[in-house]
Amino acid sequence: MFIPARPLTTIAALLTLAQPALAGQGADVWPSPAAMNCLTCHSTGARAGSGELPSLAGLPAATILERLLGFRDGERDATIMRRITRAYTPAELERIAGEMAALLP
Amino acid sequence: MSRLSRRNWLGLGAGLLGVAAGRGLRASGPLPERVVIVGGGFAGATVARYLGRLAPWLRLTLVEATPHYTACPMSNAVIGGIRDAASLRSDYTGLGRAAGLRRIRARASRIDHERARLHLADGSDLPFDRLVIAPGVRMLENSPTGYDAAAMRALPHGWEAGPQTLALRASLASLADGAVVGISVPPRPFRCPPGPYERASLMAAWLHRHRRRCKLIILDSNPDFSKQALFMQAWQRLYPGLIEWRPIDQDGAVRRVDAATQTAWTELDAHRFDLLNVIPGQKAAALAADNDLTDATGWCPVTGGDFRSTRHARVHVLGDASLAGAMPKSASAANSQAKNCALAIAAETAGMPPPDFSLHNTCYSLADRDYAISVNMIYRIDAQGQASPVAGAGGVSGIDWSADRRRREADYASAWFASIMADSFG
Repeated sequence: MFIPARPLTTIAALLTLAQPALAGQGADVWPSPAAMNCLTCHSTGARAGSGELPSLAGLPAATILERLLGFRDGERDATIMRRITRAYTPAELERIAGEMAALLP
Repeated sequence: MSRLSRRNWLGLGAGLLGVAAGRGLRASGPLPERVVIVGGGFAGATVARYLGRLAPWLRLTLVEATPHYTACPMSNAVIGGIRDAASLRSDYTGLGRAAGLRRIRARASRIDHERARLHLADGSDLPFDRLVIAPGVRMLENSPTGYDAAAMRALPHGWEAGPQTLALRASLASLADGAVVGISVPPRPFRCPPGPYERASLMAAWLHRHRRRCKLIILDSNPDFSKQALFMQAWQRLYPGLIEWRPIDQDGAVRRVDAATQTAWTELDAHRFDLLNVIPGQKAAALAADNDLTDATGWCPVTGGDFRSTRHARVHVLGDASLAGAMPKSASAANSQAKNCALAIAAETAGMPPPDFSLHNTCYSLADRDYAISVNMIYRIDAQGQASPVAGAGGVSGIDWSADRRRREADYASAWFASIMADSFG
């Protein structure tokens, strides 16, 4: 059985794997609900006035993770993101960052 | 749709279709499964859109009576004269582009659970393997007494956005200086917990600019409210003394109203207003209540995460009509519930384990055009199967935040609205 070293680094890649590779992967072949929730604000880069909800399209997973951890630790300025990221462990944020990078390449 | 990702999503769908075909899915039943979705609000549109991408082997039908949707979020800004009504609207053409979605413009009238058919008002019916309903709330008549169907026409509640929103806007704009406005808030739970207080705020902001000597009284059937300290701080800063809030323990609960004279009676008092806005008591919509999907609370019990009805296993209930654990009845909650439900249906029909559910809500409220506050929370499914807040996460904007941060939140509120409309309706 193929077990990716970093599951979900690229969901798209996983999805194109041959069928036997998916055995035992379970729901991991789908983006997680947590990552899906990010898309509500961060898929389109919607603008209003001087404010913007940044699109995460094009960002590598490492950059997204760095920002998420910065929000969680309070090192990066935030209005709502600190309150959101504190719901997740660093490992969960790493997974979310990987999924976002795959969903919005 | 924007640069996202029509291509990416379609690629995702195609990939998953390959998965499904390769695995010889669902030994227990035939493919493709017929999924009928009722209600084209935030929850219904989102579940249709995401199912179309996550599970393209499903046959999707969306039943919605109106040709376009008018969003409730930001409708208070229209009443307050700081947003154009057209910006609340979305038609369903974006959804129509989703793979394999059939849209039927009709009203659902009855659910035949035994024969698994949805009956439509035009006499036809739709067979389903799975039914996802997101019918919203119904406004209760005579809650308070006297606020019946005729009174709702004469004195619009504006708790369903559309013509009533514009009527309220016109009523506000026609007030003379010195007028007194009343807002009656029903007992919880109701759609959009901070909504009545945002409405009061934006009416007050307009009156403060254009009428100076007006007053607004909130008659509340509850002892407290969402983001209370932040709202009250904003009222003090932006239009001091204009808003008076009377909670239930200070004789705030309205028992009866007379639409003709715009009078509201509490237990001890009669209040006569120049503009009375009654927000009526609410329960799950008739489609849920009349089809055995509600319990004694008047709302629809579901298991958290997949939002499957605990009363009828082939039915999922999303959005305001559901008893969604600790989640508020909001557009943001509905959008997140729909995504979790879509992933659960995709996984189940593919014969795979359920996803790791994670639910999210963020609600912005405007106190003026450049002043907003927020509340948010992440929810996980607890041992009782209900959406439960994650300890240490979520909360409200800081009480000590600067004017600049309040302005940034107002910008984010507008951007959030544009983004969730695109994410939900395409």
